[in-house]
Amino acid sequence: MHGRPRKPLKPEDAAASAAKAEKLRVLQSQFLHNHHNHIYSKEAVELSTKLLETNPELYTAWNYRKLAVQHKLTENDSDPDSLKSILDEELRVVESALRQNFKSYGAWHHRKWILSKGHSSIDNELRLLDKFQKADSRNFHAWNYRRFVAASMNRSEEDELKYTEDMICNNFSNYSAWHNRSLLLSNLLKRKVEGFVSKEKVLPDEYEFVHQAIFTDPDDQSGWFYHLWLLDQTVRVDSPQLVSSWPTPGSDLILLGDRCLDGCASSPFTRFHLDSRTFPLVLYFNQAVEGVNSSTITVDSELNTNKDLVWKPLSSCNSKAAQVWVTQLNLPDGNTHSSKVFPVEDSSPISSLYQLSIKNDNELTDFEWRAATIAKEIDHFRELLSLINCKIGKLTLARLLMAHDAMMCPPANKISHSEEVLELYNDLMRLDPTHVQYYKDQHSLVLLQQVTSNWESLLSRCFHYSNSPSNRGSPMCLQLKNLSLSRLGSFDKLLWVQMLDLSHNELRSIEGLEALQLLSCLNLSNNILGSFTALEPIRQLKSLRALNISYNEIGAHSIDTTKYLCSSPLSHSVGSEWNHGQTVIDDDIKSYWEAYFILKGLNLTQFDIVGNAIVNEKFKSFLIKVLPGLKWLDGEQLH
Amino acid sequence: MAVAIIKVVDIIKIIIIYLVQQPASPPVSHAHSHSLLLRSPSYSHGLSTSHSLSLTAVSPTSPSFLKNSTSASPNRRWLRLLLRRFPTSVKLRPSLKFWLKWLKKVIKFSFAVVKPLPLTSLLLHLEMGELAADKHVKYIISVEKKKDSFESVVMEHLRLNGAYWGLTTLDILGKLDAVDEEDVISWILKCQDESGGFAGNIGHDPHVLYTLSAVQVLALFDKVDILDADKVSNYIVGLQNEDGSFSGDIWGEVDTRFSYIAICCLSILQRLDKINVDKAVEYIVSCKNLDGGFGCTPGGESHAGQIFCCVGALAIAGALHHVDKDLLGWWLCERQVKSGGLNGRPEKLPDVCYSWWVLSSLIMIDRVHWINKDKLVKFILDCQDMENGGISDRPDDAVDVFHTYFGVAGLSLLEYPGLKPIDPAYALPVDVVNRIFFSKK
Repeated sequence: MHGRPRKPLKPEDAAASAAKAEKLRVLQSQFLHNHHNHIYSKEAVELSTKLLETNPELYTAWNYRKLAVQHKLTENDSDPDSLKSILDEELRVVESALRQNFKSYGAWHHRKWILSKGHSSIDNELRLLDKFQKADSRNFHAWNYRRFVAASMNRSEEDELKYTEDMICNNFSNYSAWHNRSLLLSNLLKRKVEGFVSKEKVLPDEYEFVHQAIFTDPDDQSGWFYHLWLLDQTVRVDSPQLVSSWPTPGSDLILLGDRCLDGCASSPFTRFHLDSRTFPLVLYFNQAVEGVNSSTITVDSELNTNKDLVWKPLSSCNSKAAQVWVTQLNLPDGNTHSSKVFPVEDSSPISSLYQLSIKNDNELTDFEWRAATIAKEIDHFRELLSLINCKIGKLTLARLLMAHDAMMCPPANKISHSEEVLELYNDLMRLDPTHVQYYKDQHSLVLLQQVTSNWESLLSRCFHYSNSPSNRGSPMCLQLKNLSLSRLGSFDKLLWVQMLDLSHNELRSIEGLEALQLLSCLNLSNNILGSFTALEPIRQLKSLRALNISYNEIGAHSIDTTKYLCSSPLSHSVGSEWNHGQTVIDDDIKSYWEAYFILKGLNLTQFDIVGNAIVNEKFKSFLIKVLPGLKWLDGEQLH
Repeated sequence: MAVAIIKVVDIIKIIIIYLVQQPASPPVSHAHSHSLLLRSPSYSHGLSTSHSLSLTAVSPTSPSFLKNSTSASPNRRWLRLLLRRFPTSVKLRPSLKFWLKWLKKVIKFSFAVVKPLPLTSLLLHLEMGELAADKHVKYIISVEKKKDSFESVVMEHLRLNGAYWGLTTLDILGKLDAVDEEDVISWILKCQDESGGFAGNIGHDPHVLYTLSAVQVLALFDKVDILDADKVSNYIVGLQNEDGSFSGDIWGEVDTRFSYIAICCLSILQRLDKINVDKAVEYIVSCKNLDGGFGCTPGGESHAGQIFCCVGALAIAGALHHVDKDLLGWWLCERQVKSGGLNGRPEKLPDVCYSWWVLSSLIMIDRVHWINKDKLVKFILDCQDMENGGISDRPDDAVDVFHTYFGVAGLSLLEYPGLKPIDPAYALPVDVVNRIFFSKK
C-alpha cells in the first residue's frame, strides 16, 4: 500500500474495517446487479455515486454511469436545461471522487467524456484545475488534463507558458512545470510565433531562468534536464550533416589485390586490401537520415557509373533511416593482381564536413551566437563550481566543454579541453559512485575522441600484425587495447580500419561498430560482453573473417541486456519470418538462438570463443554447423 | 536492559572497509566509531556512501550467510579471517578501551588484506538480508484467501491483475505449483466477456488491462491454447484508433499503456500482424519527450511506468531505434536516490515498484549498468516484511501483492541468486517467453 505504515491492525480497527468492507461489498453487488440489468433509476444511479465516492477506481461503475447518461440523454433530448443538469451532476461526482483519489484514471477520463458531450463551460475546468494544481503541483493527471483543456478552449501557448513560469517562480522544484515549459517553448519555436522567431532571442532568457533553479539548489534535479535541453537546442544544427566518409572525398585509393606483395608506403587510411571483387563506400552522418540513393549522392569514380549503386542503411531494425549508409563498388575484371590508383570522389548535396568550412553569412552569425552562448555557459558553471562542489556543475561543465570543442573543431585542430573533461569525469566517479559506470562510459567516449583526434595519435597505435615479410602488404592493425574502455565511439574517424584490437578493455557492448565496414579482423577478447546479442553490430560486417571474443562473459548472465536491441524472434522485426516456418527450429537453435542469429550470416574463417561460460562441446559442434567456412576454432585447425 | 545491550554488542560485528577510489584516509575519530558500534544492526543505510573509511554494523543474518556459503570464494575468505579476530566469546560488555584496541587491530589487518579487493560491492552484499522467499510465497497464498478485508473488496475489480502479480511472483520463486491451476484457469475463463476481452473480475466490464493479465497468466501455465486467439485478438485490434493509438475499452480512454498492452498481448498470441504496427509505433514515438522519456499521450510528462510501456512496446515491435538511449538512460539512472531505491520521476520518493519500471527499461536499452545494482538489491530487501512476508513500497510500510511482485521481479532482473530470470519486455519469466516463441510445432 503506497505510503501506509506497516503495523498490525488493532482489534477495534480490524472490526471497523470488516464492517466497512461488508458495507462496500453489499453496495458493489447491488451495483453489479443494476449494471447487468440495465437499471438506470434515480436510486440505482445514486448507489453508484455512493460507491464511486468510496472507491473511485471502480472502472465498471464509471462505465455504468456513462451508460446511464446516454440513457437519460435519449430520454430528455429536447430539453437543454435538464441535459445540463444531468451533465453537471456527473461533473460534481467526478470532482468529489477526485477529492477522494486524485490519481483515479477512471474519474479523469469520465470528466473528459462528459465534456465531449458539450453543454458545459470549459472555463470552469481551468478554475478547478488551478485549485487542484495548487494542492498537488506534480500530479501528472492534472497536467495532462490541463493540456487537454487548454487545447479545447484554444488557449494560447503563450498564456500557458506564463502559467508554467508562475508555477516555477512559486516553487522551482517542479519538474512537471519545467517539462510543460520545454514542450510549449519548442512548439512556439517550431511554429515561429511572433516573439519566438529566433532561438537567439529566446534562449538566453531561458538559460537565465534555469540558472536560478540550478544555482539555488544544485542537487534538485528539476532544472537539470531543462538545461540539457537548452544546450541541445543551442548546439543542434537542424539539417543532417555528413560527418565523414570512406574513402574521403577526392582521395586516391590504393587497392591491393589478393596476391600483391607490393607494400607501398602510403598511409593506412587510403590503402585497402581486397579479397573480393567489390569494395564498400561508407557515408557517416551526424544523425539517422533517410533517402540516401543514387539520386541524392553522386559518386565519381573510374570504376563505376552512378546508376547501379544501391545504398543500404546500416540499422539493426528494418528501419529506413540510419546514421551509416553503405554501397558496394564493383571492380572491373583483371585488376586485382596489381595495385592501381583509382581516384574516387563522392559529393553529396547535404553539406559535408569539408564543405562546412565554407559558410555563408547567415550561418556564420548563427555560429557566433551558438559559440558565444556555450562560452558564456562555461563561465557560469565554472563560477558555480568555484562556489560549491556539485555533481551537476561538473557534469554540465564537461558536456559544455565537449560541445565547445565539437563546435570549434575544424578537422586539423587539436581538441583543447579533453584533458580537463577526462579529469571532470574522474572527479564525478568519486563524487557520485552510484553512477560510476555512466561517467566511465562518458570518459571512454572522450578518451576515444582524444585518441582519434589526429593522424599522429592514430598512427602511434597502428601496428603490423605480423613481422613476416610476405605480409608487408597486409593492412595495419589499430590497437586500442588496455585503455579501460567501457564504451566505443568516434566511429566517424575509424571508417578506414580493417584490423582492430579492442582486447583487455571493459566493453559490454560494441554499439555502433557496424560503421567500420572494412573490418576483417576484430579482437574483442578479455572484455565483459555478456551475450551473443551484444554482438549484433558484427552482423553487418560482411568482410569480417577473423573474430576473437574469448574470455568474455557470454553465457554467464541470466538477464540479457541486448536482447531487444537486435532483431530476434521475440520482436516483430523477424517474428513473422520466423513464425511462418522459414527457419527450421531444431533443439540446438532453440537453446542457442542468440548465437544462431548473430553468426548465421557471417563468413568467418577464424573464431575464438574460449573462456566464455557458454562454451562446451555441444556448443562447439553447433558453431561448426552454423559457420561452415570456419577453418580455425580456438586456435585449432578444423578439418 | 543490561542484558539486552550485551546481546546487541555481542551480535554486532564490525568490518572496516577501505573504499578503493579514495586516497589514504584520515584516522577515524574514536567517539565516532564508538557511537557506531552501539547502533542497532538494522541501521546501515547511509553508511555505505561515506567516502573515506566506513564502519558498518553487519546484521545478525550475515555470519550465518557466511557459514552457509561453502564456496571458497577469495572475497569471503578474508572476511572469515577478519571475523575470527572478533571477540565473539565476550560475555560482559567490554570496555571502550578494549574496543578501541580491537578496532585498531582490525583496521591494521584490513588495510593489509582488504585493499585490493572490490570492496564496495562486497560490503553491500554482506549488509543485506536475504530474500525471505518462503514467507513471500505464504503471503501471496494468504492474500488469495483473505477476501474480507476492506482492501481486498476495494481491489476486487482488478483481481485479474492481482492474479498476474501473485502468480508471476510464485513462478519466479519456483513455486507456481502452490496454487491449483484448474481453479485459476476456470475462474479466468469466467472473466471473459463475449467481446473477447477480459474483465478484472467476474461481472465487471472488459478492458485491455485485464485482457493482458489473463493472457499472461495462461502463458505461465502454458495454457494460451485454450483461448480462441482470434477472438481475443479481434477485441484488441478493434481498439486501435486512426492515429495508431489504442483505447483501453469501448469508452475511448487513450494511453500509451494500452499501446503496450495491445502489442504485448498480440505478440504472445502471435497475432501482431493483425494491427498496423507502424502506426502504433508512430503514435508511441509521438509521445516522446525532450528529456528522452515518454508520457501517456503526446505532451504528457515522462514517468517511469509510462516509459516502461513505451520502451517495452517498441522493443516488442522491433523499433527501439526510436529511443535516444543515452538521453533516456541518463534520465532513468538518475532515478536512483541515495537510499539505493528508484523513484518514478525527478524529485519524488523511491518506491519498490520502480525497481521494475526503471530497471526493465534500462535493461531493454542496455544501460542498466548506469545504476548501482547492489544498492538497489539492498533497498528491495529492506522493504520486506520479514515477519509475515510480502514487500512494501518503502521500508516499514504496509505490504501488498503489487509491490511484492515488483520487488521480486526487480530482484530477478538484478540476477539475484535462486530466482528465475524474467523478461524485461513481456514481464513473464524468460522460460515462459522462450516457450511461446521457440516451441513451435
